[in-house]
Parts: sequence; C-alpha cells; structure tokens
Amino acid sequence: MVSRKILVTGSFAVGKTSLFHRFVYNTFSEQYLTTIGVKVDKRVVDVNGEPLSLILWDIAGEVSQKKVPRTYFLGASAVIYVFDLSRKQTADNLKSDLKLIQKILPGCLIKVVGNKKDLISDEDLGILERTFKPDFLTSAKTGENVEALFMDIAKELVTY
Amino acid sequence: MPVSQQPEHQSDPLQQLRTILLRPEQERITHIHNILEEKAPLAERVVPIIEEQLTEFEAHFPKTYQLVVDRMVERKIKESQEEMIDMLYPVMGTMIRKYIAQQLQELRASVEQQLQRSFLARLRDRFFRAAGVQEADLVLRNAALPKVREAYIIEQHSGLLLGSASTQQVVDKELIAGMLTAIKSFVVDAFRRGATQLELIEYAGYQILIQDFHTYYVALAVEGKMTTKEQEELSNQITTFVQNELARKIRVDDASLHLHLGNALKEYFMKTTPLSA
Repeated sequence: MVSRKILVTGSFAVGKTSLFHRFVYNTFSEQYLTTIGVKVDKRVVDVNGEPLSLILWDIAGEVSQKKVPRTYFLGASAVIYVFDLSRKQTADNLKSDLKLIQKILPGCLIKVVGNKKDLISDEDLGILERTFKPDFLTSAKTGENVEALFMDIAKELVTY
Repeated sequence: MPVSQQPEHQSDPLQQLRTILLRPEQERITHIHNILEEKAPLAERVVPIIEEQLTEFEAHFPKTYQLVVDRMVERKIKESQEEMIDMLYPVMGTMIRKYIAQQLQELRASVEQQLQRSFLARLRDRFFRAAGVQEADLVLRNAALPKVREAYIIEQHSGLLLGSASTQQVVDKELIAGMLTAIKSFVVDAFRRGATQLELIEYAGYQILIQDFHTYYVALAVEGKMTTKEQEELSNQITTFVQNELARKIRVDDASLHLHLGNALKEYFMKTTPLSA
C-alpha cells in the first residue's frame, strides 16, 4: 500500500489536534490539551479504488520554527498549515512560515486552513477569506470540510 | 550514314580522345567500385586498418579520454549519490565498528591482565564464591537469552515503513515507524550531539536497537537484556542484512520489496541469529 507523510502545523491552540482527531477518529473534545512533541497517527483512505495510507504528524504548539524541530518536516509529502479564524493573530506569521516550509520542503503540497469556522460570523468569514486566502475553511467541532480537506490532499498526492 | 546521325561519342573526336586517355582511370574506378561493393575484398583491406586504429586507440585511450571518462564518472556519481552512499554506508560502518571493537578488546585484555596481577583477582574470586554463583545460574542465564521480537526498516525523516517482521501481535506498524522516527528526530534536535543518532531505547524489558544508514534505518525490538557482545553481534547481523538485502535503491511504494524485506527480516533476525527465538 502506498503511504504518504502529512504534517499538521500552525500556531498554538488553532485546533490542529482537533482536526487530526476529527479526521482519524471522527471525534471532537471541548477539552483543550496541549500536544507534547509530536503525535503520529494514520488513516487509510480510498482514492480511485486504491488504498492510500496517510501518516499524519500532529506537531506540537507554536509554529515558530525555532521551537519545532526541522527534522519533523523532512520527508513530508504535504503540509496542512492551520490558523484560527477566531484569532486573526494566529495568521500573522502565515507568509514567513509558508516561505520557510517551502524552503525546507521544496515542491511540497501545502494547504492553508482556516479552522474554527463555527465561531465566527459570515461577515467576518468573508473578510478573513479575502485577507488570507485559505484553501479550506473548516470546523473540527462540527466536522465541516474536514473530510474534504484530507481527501483533497489524498487525491492530489496520488497524482503529485 | 550522314555525320549528323552518328552517335555523339563516335562523332565527337574530343570524346573519343577522352575515352582513350582516361581508360586506365576508368578501369581503376571500376576496380575500386568492385572492392567497395564486395564484402570480402573490402574486409581484406579495411580490417587491418581498423585493427591498427583500435590498437592505437587502446594504447592512447587512457591519455586521450581520461578527462572525458573522469567527467562521466563524476556525473554518474553525482546522479547516483544516494544509492552509492547507501551501498557504502554498511561497509564503512563495519570497518569503523571492527576498529572500535578491536580497540576495546585490547583495552579489556589490558585491564584483565592488570586485574589478574593484582589482589583484586583474589578478591573477585572470593566474592563470586560468597555470592554462590552456580553453574545452574549460567544455564538459566543462557535460557533467558535476548530474542528479537520485532524488526523494522524505516525511511529516514519521513518515518514511512519500508519493511517489517514480528513474532507477536503489535499495534499498527506504520504508527510505530512514525513515532520511532519522531523520537529519533526529537532526541537529535533536543540534545544536539552533532551527527550522533539515537542508538538504543530501553522500555519494560525491551531494548530497541537502532542502526542508521543513509536513507533508512533498521530498528530491532529485543526482549531481554543484551550484553555488549550480543549487541555487537546483532549490529553486525544488521550490517550483513543490509549489505545482502538492501544494496539497491529502495522506494517506499514498492509493495513487492516490502514483502521481500519482511521475509528477509524474519530469516535474518527471527530464525537464524543467536538472539532469535
């Protein structure tokens, strides 16, 4: 079976682990637990009738590249960069972070995700969408767009 | 026949003269043409020339083409760098390990010699006698020899599983491969000891022996406590395995290779080694 490493990264408390859990276990917890180090999990998805094993690395806390070991990024086929739609400042470093990720992983598939969609109004959502141009708007709480996000990545990875 | 009706070459005195004068050349051209058309006479004349040229080429090849060949080899090495390093890695590792083992052996012999000379030897003997170490204890120790329970080949950095074998039911092997890689990365980043890698993890009666190669690493989960010598033997066994089974480029998506490596891991570490079950 074909396997691909996918990294979930982003600022502190943007819901990376919640997205991860929603996709792998289809669960959501209101309780906030800081991830220590990294958590690796997997889910096998079906792409055009072929199984694809997605090995997901949920990287702890701050995206500040000084704190996250660079070696975690190596060998990843795709990176999901998550920011919190209800805390605009979590996208402050979006440009520089993406630049660094591209430097570490040239040619890697990157998806920018605005999470916690359920917490903001449609009006604010429109403004944020225009400002940060995310690839997906998700809610780990309701599950909205989570499956679509990972399936989109899986499909792209098969032909990448 | 009127002059105007005669063939041109007969009527043209210049043409007639040309035919007479050029006859030897015409015959020569026909002869050359025959040589060129017929394989045997052509070969008779050309082969000695080619052979001579070849001899000359062979004699002057190193001098004339050295630069070109050097460049080609250089380019080939650059293109196949990963494969070459993967092939050389175990060989270099063996040499270094042998050297260190020899040095340690010499050090041990020297210490032993000094101990024998000193009163410590007598003290040691008394201690063992007092402790009541019996032959039966040694037999029991042998019965509890460490055993390789799980074996993994994992791609460096990505942590993707290339091959595995196990003697027991384990949680998802791909997850183990990923987490092991994450732990390795964390240790290297956290303690910053240059190129040094994580080599051993101990947990609940298990020792996980990790041996790094260029694009992948091998991890063996061993039940029981290994002595330094046993660890060394297992390490050598890993190198032999890599040399024999992994001396080609590994692709993560190669399903047949995964299967082959799984069987080979079982053969090398779970059936034939002194540490196996």
